[in-house]
Amino acid sequence: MLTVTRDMVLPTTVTGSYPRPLWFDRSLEGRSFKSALGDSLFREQYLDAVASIIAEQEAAGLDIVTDGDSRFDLTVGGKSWFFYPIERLGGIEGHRDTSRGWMSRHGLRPGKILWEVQEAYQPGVVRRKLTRGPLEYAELWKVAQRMSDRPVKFGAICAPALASMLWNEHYVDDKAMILDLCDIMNAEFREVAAAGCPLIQVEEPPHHSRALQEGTTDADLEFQTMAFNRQLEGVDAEIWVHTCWGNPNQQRVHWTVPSYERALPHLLQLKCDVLTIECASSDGRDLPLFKHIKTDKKIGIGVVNHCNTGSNRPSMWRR
Amino acid sequence: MAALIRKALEYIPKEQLVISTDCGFGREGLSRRIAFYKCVALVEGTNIVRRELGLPEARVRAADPKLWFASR
Repeated sequence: MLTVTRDMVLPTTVTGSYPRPLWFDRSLEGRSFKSALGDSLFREQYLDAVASIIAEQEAAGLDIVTDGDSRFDLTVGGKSWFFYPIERLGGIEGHRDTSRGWMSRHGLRPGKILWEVQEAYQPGVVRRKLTRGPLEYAELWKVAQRMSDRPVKFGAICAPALASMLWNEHYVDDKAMILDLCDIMNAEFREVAAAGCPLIQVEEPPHHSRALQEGTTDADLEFQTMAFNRQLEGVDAEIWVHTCWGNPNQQRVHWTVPSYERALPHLLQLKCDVLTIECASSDGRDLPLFKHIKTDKKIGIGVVNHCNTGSNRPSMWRR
Repeated sequence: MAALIRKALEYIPKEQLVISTDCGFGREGLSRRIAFYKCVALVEGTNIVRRELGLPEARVRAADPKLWFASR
C-alpha cells in the first residue's frame, strides 16, 4: 500500500548499495548481525559507516535514503547480494565451481571480468529442506532508521533471484525450492514491516532477464509472478520492486541494453506499489511502452548510470 | 538527467513518477565520492524539472555555495 510516497511528487532516492568508506574494512563473514554488533570494532565501523552514508544522501537532498546495503561483506563483484542470505539459511552445504547458467551466457570466458566475478561466487548446494536463518532484516533496518528522520528504504534480493545462485539437490524440482524460499523471505519481509519499516524494496524479479532467454514461455513467467507475489503475502508496507539489467562489479552484462517490452506486462502483475526500471543506460528507450499502459503503480526510473564513473550533469541533454 | 525526466513525463503522470538510479553503486566498483556526486546530480536534475512544474525543490546542502570556502 502506498504510504511513504503517496503524496510525494517526483520523490528521489537511490537503489540501495553505496561504496564502503575506505576505513570500513571489517565484515560480517557469516556472523549474525546482532552478534557482530557485540564486536567493538565491527560495531563502531558499521554504525559510523551507515551514519556517513545516510548523511551523504541527506546532504545530496534525497527524499528517501538507504543504509547502503552495509551488511554486505567486501566481496568480489557484489557477491554478498546473493550470499548474505545463502550463508545464513539452513539446508545449504558446500558449493560448486560454476554458476547456474551464467558461465555459459554472455560470452563469458577467462580473460573477462565477469568470468572472474562468477568464479568468485561459488554457488551453494541445497542438500536439505531450506529453513530460516539469522537474516535479521528488521534489526538492520532499525539501526539505519534511528540515524535519520527521512524514510529509510530497506532492500533485499527476492527469493526467485536467490534460487539462481543455488544448486538444488534436495527438492523434486527448482520450482519447489523457489516456493520454499518464497515462504522464508515472506516471513522476513513480514517481520521487517512489523518492525515499522515503511518501505521495502524487493530486488530483481527474474521476468525481464528470463524474457530474453530462448525457450521461456508465458507460463514460465506466470510461475515467477505467482512465486514472487507469494513472498509478499501479508507484508504491510509500501513495496517497491527493483529491476535492472545486471550490476556485477558495476559491469554491463549486456553490451546492448535490452528492452523490457515482453516482460513489462508480467512485471506489472507483481504485488508492489512502485516498479523501478533501468532508464539511464538506454536513454529511456522503453519509456514509450507506458503510453498505452494503464497502471495504478508508481514507476521509478533510473536517471543515473551505475556502470560509469561520470557524475552526470543535472541538465545534460540526452543524445 | 532533467531531459530524461521530461521524457518520462510524456508517458507517465508526474504523480506516478519516482526518480532513482539504474542500480546500486556497489561497494568496490565505484568510489564513494563518485557515488555522492551522482546523488547530488540526481537531485539537482530533478529540481530543474520540479522548478519547471512549479513544485517545491529539495534543498541540496552539498551544492550550497554558502557552505563552501573555495571561491572563484
